[in-house]
Amino acid sequence: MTRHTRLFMSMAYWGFAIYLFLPITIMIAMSFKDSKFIGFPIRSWTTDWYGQAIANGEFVSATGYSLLVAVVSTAISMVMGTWLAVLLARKSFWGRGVVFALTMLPAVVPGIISAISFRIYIRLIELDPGMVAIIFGHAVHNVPFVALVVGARLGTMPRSHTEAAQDLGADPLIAFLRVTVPYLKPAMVGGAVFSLLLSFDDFVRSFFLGSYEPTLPVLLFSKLRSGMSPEINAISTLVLIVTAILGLWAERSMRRMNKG
Amino acid sequence: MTDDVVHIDRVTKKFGKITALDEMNIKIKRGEFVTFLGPSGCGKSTTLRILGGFERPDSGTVYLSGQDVTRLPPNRRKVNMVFQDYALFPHMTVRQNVAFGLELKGMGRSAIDARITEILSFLELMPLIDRFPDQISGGQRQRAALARALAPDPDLLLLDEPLGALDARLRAQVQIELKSIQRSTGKTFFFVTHDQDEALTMSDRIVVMNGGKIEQDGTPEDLYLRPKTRFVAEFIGETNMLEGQLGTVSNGTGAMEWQGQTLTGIAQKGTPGQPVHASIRLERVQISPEKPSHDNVVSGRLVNSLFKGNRRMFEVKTPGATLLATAPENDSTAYLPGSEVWLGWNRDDMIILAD
Amino acid sequence: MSLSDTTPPPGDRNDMPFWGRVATSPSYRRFSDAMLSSPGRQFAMLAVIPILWVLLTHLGPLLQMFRVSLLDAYPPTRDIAPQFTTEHYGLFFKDQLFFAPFMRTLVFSLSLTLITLVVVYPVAYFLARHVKRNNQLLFLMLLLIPFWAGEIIRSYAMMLMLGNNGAINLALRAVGLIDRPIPFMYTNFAVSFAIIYLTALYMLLPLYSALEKIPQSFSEAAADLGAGPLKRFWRVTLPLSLDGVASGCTLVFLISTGIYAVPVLFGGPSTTTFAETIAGFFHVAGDRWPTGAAFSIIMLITALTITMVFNRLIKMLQKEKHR
Repeated sequence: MTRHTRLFMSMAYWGFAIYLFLPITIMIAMSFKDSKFIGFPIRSWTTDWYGQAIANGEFVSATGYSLLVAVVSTAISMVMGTWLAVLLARKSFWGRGVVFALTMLPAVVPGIISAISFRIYIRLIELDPGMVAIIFGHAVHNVPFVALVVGARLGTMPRSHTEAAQDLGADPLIAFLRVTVPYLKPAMVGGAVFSLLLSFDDFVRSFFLGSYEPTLPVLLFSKLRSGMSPEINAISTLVLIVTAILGLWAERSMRRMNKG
Repeated sequence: MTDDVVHIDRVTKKFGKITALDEMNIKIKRGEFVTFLGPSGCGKSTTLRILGGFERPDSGTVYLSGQDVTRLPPNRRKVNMVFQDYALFPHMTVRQNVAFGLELKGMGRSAIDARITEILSFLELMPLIDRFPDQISGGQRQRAALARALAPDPDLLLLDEPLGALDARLRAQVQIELKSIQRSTGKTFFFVTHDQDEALTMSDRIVVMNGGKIEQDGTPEDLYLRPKTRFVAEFIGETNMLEGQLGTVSNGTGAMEWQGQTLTGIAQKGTPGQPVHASIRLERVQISPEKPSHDNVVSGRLVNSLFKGNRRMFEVKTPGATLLATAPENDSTAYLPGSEVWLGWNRDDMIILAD
Repeated sequence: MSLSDTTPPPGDRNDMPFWGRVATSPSYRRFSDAMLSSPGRQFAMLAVIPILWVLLTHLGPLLQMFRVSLLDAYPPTRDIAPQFTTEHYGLFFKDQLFFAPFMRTLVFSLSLTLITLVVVYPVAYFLARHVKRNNQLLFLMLLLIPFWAGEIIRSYAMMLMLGNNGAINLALRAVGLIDRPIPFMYTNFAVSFAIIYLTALYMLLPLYSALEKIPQSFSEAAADLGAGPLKRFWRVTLPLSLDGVASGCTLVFLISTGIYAVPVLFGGPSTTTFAETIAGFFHVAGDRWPTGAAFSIIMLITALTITMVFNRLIKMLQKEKHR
């Protein structure tokens, strides 16, 4: 590789990094700007917007609502995603290909179509728009991701482990709980964090399945439609920091596990 | 209750089109160390997995201690297994691994602790009791797996090539250990391997399998000295195999026409003229500069003289075939490659086998 | 020494460890015998619930959407049974109002996928081939930070860049290239710029993992045989990274077709996407759901067909190269 191409490559990387980071850096900077007007230049700094954002009941309750939805939907995705992964780990059974395709289906349906199909479906099962509907939508959407992460880990587990457990007197259920689950733990933790973040960040499903109470992304969306405000900078910065830390942690633990 | 721990009655198992076991029959007595020996795909592992409950036979019946267990899942059988990769649970210490089977049997805490101490002291693992499997060596892991399988006091212990992962030196040592453990516990060991050396060293009884069928079932001496089939003769130990036609057979002795010569050896039955093979162990072939007085003699030219440590191996080209002979190292350095030599062996050292 | 026979003492259940109590409890044993004792039943226990789940919740919503798209009215009004009709599909082809956003979305998504591929490939290549192994993870993690903040927050950050008082206009004015702000917002450019910001990482990850798997020695071997850098890339690296290209493009394309928030926040009347068109049928009360459903089906089938054809092409290309 010549020096020119190497230079070009590294410029591409750093240029891309700037493209990704500049917007959020500006957002963070704006959250400390001591003025109602959003834009440069910044003449004086303040942390008041954070105080206001936290004091604002709307943001707090939307965050709580989003968290609740994320936790419950993740619990469901974890159970079903893991269950499907274990089923798909069976080498061959009639219709395995179909079950695999169906498992992955929610991951390939474009966002708006997924949201619309859930909106129509909850009408069929007579579920009103609201928290339960959002939880349902998020849970279904996250199952393929959990199944993929858990399935990858399961693929590295020797068959002899579960056989040894059964040989020592465990039925398949006890063998699963005492031997397979501990083996899957890193993947399940990673999958759970991933699922929590997907749910917490989700806009389109929450928007179409919600009633009057908004999740945090839906609240931010409606605020943005009516104009920017410094409070949005503050709350977005807070969310960015918390989710980035969680996301990095999950990503790291999963990569470690796949290497080790 | 019968004295047979295992009774496999006309068991057949197919995987797709491949027949792994073909109408297999065998009985194993309490306290025996039985080795199932054969090349990969011969059905030995399938037999083991059927006894463990991991595979169900397509037809036939399996009895353990007189009870029909054909349809019983692994967790309900008084059989434990040492897996090829040991399958120690990585998130549990040695103690927890051994306790696993005891807990599920419904033993109380104090009984479990006593049993763990008993078995781990016996296998000299007490110092490692709180280590995790990845913190102990390969040989220690092998013993931990053995401890875990012995702890629930099974009627039958299955060992699936458990020495395969050890290096040659350690393997030799563990072979002796295993045999003495088996003897002192009085447990029935069902050992599977493709390594004939291992089988000869440890077993009370060896079952040689090939293509889903039992080729021969007997003591190590039987198999080595009196192979019943060409497969067994070739699979166990090193041997010279000569191809010829059967002559007359009487009183367990037979003649074989080979390269215009009549050789005599042990033969069971057969019709004169049928093609046969004769097996002569390398160490039974005597090499000498002059024509020896053995029952069978051939002359040839020495092609190679190979140093094997405690012995020397000679490769002799005769008109019909290249034969191998071994002799203790000390008295055999005199032959030079290229020289004419004589080979001789007695009637009792040659086994004539029908094809 | 002989090991003692250890038939369990007729147990004091309280002395047993937890799993012993579970395994020996009569009710659990009954359950285990009934449900888990034969391979067939074990499989049924394992398979029935997850298969029902995927049928009812993964497939069900799409099937119901398809059904609704063939009804004349939904949700049904009292006493009137909905009738079967294909008029909603016909509407799509009849009315330019709907066809234009559809084509725009397709062209948008396809060209954005291509742009993202071209932009991100060198980045992934740099990461996988020029960064030391130990540092790769760090460099990758760095790029993942904005990814976790979510669609809306990232869109907002992008608005701060593109606004009339945004960072880009400010910078351009500062260096004297312009004296009046360029109105980026509410244009195709703004929508594209923001969508790439949302999807770029879905391209980066598959490309990186495909490139990372190619042994360095391949390229060196090609160099040994006298291949120049460009030829090496064209004949060795690119064909071996096609898997990453395929999955990256599939992900980015499918995500771009389904993004709703960005065109609403960044777009104007001239940039209406099909996602907005579809959503429009669901803002008004009930009776236009079937049209929205039909349009969703059209979008879904088109998007999946395009990805399947694309993946097939990549497969063929790979086979070609192998020969």
